[in-house]
Amino acid sequence: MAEVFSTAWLAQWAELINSDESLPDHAPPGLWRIYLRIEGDSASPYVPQDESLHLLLHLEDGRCTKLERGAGPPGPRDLDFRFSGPAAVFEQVAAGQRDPVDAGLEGDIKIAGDMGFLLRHAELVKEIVDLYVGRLETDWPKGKPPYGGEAVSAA
Amino acid sequence: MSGDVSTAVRPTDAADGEDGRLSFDAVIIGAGHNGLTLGAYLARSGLSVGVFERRGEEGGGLCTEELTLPGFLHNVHANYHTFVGLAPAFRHLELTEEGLEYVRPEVQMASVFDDGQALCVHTDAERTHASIARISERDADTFRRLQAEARRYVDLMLETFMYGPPVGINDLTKALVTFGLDKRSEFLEAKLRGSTIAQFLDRHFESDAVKAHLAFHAAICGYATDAKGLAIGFPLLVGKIDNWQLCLGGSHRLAHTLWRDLVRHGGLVHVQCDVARILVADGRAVGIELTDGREVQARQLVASSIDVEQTVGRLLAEDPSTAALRAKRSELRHPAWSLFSVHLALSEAPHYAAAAFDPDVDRAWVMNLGYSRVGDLIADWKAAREGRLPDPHPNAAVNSLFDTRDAPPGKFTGLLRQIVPAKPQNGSIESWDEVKDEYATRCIETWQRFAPNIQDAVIASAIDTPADIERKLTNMRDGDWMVGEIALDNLLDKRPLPELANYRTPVERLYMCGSTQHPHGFITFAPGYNALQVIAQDLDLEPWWRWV
Ligand SMILES: Cc1cc2nc3c(=O)[nH]c(=O)nc-3n(C[C@H](O)[C@H](O)[C@H](O)COP(=O)(O)OP(=O)(O)OC[C@H]3O[C@@H](n4cnc5c(N)ncnc54)[C@H](O)[C@@H]3O)c2cc1C
Repeated sequence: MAEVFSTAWLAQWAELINSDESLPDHAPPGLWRIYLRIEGDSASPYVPQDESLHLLLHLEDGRCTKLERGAGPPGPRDLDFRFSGPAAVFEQVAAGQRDPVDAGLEGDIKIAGDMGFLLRHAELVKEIVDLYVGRLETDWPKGKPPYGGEAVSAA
Repeated sequence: MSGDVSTAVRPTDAADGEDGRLSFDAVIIGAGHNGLTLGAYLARSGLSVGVFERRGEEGGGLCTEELTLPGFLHNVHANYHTFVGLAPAFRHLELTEEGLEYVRPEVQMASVFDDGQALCVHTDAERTHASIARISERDADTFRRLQAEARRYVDLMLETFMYGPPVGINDLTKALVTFGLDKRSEFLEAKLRGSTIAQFLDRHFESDAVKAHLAFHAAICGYATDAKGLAIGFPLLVGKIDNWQLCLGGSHRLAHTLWRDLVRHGGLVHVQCDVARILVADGRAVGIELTDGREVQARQLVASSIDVEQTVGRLLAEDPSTAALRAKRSELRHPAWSLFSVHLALSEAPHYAAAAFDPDVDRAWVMNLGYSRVGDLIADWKAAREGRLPDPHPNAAVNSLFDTRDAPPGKFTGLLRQIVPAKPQNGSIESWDEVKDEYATRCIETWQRFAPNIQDAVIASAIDTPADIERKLTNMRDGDWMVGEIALDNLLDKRPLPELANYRTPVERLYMCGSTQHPHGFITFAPGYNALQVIAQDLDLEPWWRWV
């Protein structure tokens, strides 16, 4: 188990993606660059308020070739999709407490990019999201969502 | 957006082409809001831009004129702006910071029914609920759930369906199933692609009046009540049902603001320039020729914001690469119906009889005069398609209730707008000239039936028929105000033809950027914005507008 958003946690996620043998079957050929902007909010003890975590996920022919924290947001030419939203929402999704599709539909996680592509490859998207939600074992040393006042002030 | 680009003011290098010809990086045909939007983004990206417009002013359907009497400002075409704040252009081009002002009336819309009852849609959802509940409590609750659900995903829907390349309807329905939307949503389901709006309403609502109001709202967005498949767009329409906004000082102000942004960034709009030909060399668009014989060089691209018939049939008449498209001209879809407008100068605002039921109707903006059942709307669509003049149920609006600048002090402008056949009696579109006066009288009489003071309040009137629409905007052939029918098989990746749906054409560096393209007409800015994405890819432009 690794702490949410830590380097070890990201490595574990990448490993999960690459151990899924059916992914390359659903994946479009080529490199797809996905950027997750996880925005600090008053609730999350893992991302300070007014700061953001910049996670970069590269999928090449259905294989994860990069999953790491960036120093800042990538330039507009260097990404194909952006998912952004409050850290507490991403954490709730990782903890299996919030349905990721609902979070996207309801606008809590904002999605930008070629939506047609996302729709055409809905199965791939769903598989990656399911890995994040269902099988990624996460350690929550500063408290697990949903956060009450105590978890936040403890941070 | 990079600060340098947004603030740069460059003199245009318009006349530095070979042989002293006008020369631009980007040449755009038509200065409606889509052409201007594309031009403004490209100019902010550092390209020199020339927009060429047939009429004497920019704006296309964003046209405000003193049609009746001096001092009365009438929006000849687009009156209701429903994408204010939703279209990315508002943010990227900083339109409201340029002095452009909108008002979003608190009572957005109202229906006055034959039985004296009324229904209002407010900007305040609770007030809308209370208004519908007077007619049907169950429908009020259903509408509240529908609106709440649609509002939750309206941003995603706009991004998916409007401000991005078109998606295929099959991909869309497959994704609905993969993501389990049928189970998550009470209203969104894959079978909507086979349903009419009337069927959607029957499935969810019980009251005739409530259904009629909702169908009316879709109808003024160009969505026919009885067209199969259009139910798929209905939740999106409901998501922005309370975002109807009035451009203060007249709709043309928006065009003027876009023009100013373009010019500030070095672009130019050339008016009274009817484009006669697109110049092609080695399969690539290299310029245009005007009807007066002048040629304009396009160093990087030409974009056409006008209809396919003109672009391919006239401007490229001799180009072999588009011969296959010319052969498909008969497949281009235009509706058999259009809009008939009566613009009025009024000495007083309307007082509705239904104000006795709900006083808010007297301060509502967009009025449904008398559609009391969905069947009333379907009968109008049917009549219009068969070339018959429907019994008028016009929509009405008095802009001066919210914008005192658009009429002399104490006076009001009024608008009546009715769904009609493009060609009455299945004759020519010109036959409107013979029937328009009598039909305008019938429209005013309908208003009088619901607002008994209105006939005496009329000081002057001016009529705008489908024939007038076509005369003013030649790209709206047969008065096609959407420049391509809104029908499931003429939307998304099928609009206007599969070969043209991604904004590119068989001629290299020639793009389509007007309402012929996905999503459709209306003041959405979307065709221009979406064409920009494709152009940016082809020209390797820095997409400063993305992800902001
Ligand atoms: C009666 C009516 C009512 C409407 N009401 C509404 C409303 O309330 N709300 C709303 O959102 N929309 C409304 N619309 C629709 C709206 O006006 C259009 O969707 C919008 O104007 C389309 O913008 P555009 O830039 O694609 O094209 P246009 O605005 O049509 O601009 C195209 C431009 O190209 C020019 N042009 C044509 N041929 C040539 C040529 N050969 N050379 C050079 N220039 C050429 C035209 O003169 C025109 O200026 C209405 C339309 C009509 C007719």
